[in-house]
Amino acid sequence: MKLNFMSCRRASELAAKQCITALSRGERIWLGMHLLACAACRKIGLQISAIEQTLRLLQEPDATHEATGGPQLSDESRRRIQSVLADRT
Amino acid sequence: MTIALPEHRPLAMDRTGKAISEGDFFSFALFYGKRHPVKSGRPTCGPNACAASAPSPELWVGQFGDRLYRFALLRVPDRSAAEELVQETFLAALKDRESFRGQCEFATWLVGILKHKLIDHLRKTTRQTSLSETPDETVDEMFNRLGHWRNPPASWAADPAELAIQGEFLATLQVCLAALPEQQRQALILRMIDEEPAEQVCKILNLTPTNLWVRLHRARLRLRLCLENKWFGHPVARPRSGTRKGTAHEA
Repeated sequence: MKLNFMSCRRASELAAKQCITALSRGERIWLGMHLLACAACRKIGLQISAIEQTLRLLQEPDATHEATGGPQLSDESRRRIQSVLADRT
Repeated sequence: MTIALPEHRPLAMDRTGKAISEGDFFSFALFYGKRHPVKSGRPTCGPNACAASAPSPELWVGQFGDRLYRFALLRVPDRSAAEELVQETFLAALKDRESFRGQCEFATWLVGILKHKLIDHLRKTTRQTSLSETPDETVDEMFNRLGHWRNPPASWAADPAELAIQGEFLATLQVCLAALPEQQRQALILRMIDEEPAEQVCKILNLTPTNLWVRLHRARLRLRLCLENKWFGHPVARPRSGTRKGTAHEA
């Protein structure tokens, strides 16, 4: 039981589960107690939360493409799509 | 019950702008795995919602082609499939352009159509999923037999949210996303980037909620590890002056 309480794997699973569905009362208490005791899981939890905040910037990649020099349609596909559109117009 | 975390400097902000390092412990526990990410408030426009002044179709590819392509490529890393989706989007827009009423930008309207095309594509390409997920050795190796982290997490030199303004960091983030196994990447993008409700993600990917959180769990850990290896743990790639904050993530 003690080992189970200290399972970082279980804590990281519950944290992910929490993004999908509500945790039971017991699970929330377990996670809270584990985080209270485990500095590594607190650190990783904060890092993952920060990554997820950054991920939302990718909702619209154009917001960042100037900085990243994002990928572009190839000339060939550009010509093909232009041609298909012209046929249907 | 309120406790002070060892690191008092704000490590990251929650959506209300509150520094999480000062927070109530159970709020922190909830922050650790946010259950219901709030929609970003970006303007949305479905294919039937918006018909005023759409640009002439011969201008579409030049003006919007790359934008749509990047949007598709993030979600469907296969270039030819992404190009095909862009073409389908323009054709659907051409057919339905009478419905564009100028209530949003034309580009936003096109992205709305592309989103529908992407979901259709995922539904068609997602295979029937078995109830039990196959083991993920990369994630298994992160833990010892007692379930403890095999390698303690490194302290990150800066907050990813601050680094987001750096193109190199976002490029690295996209490389790490593309490196995720297909099924994990789809789950992560739909839930964490597109912020689709969990029920909708399950329907699109033909998953049970348990399958979904298992994939999300693996994807989150892999993404964190990839960034630690490719960015935070790489001395050359560490952020330079102006963004370093010492050990901002020191727990």
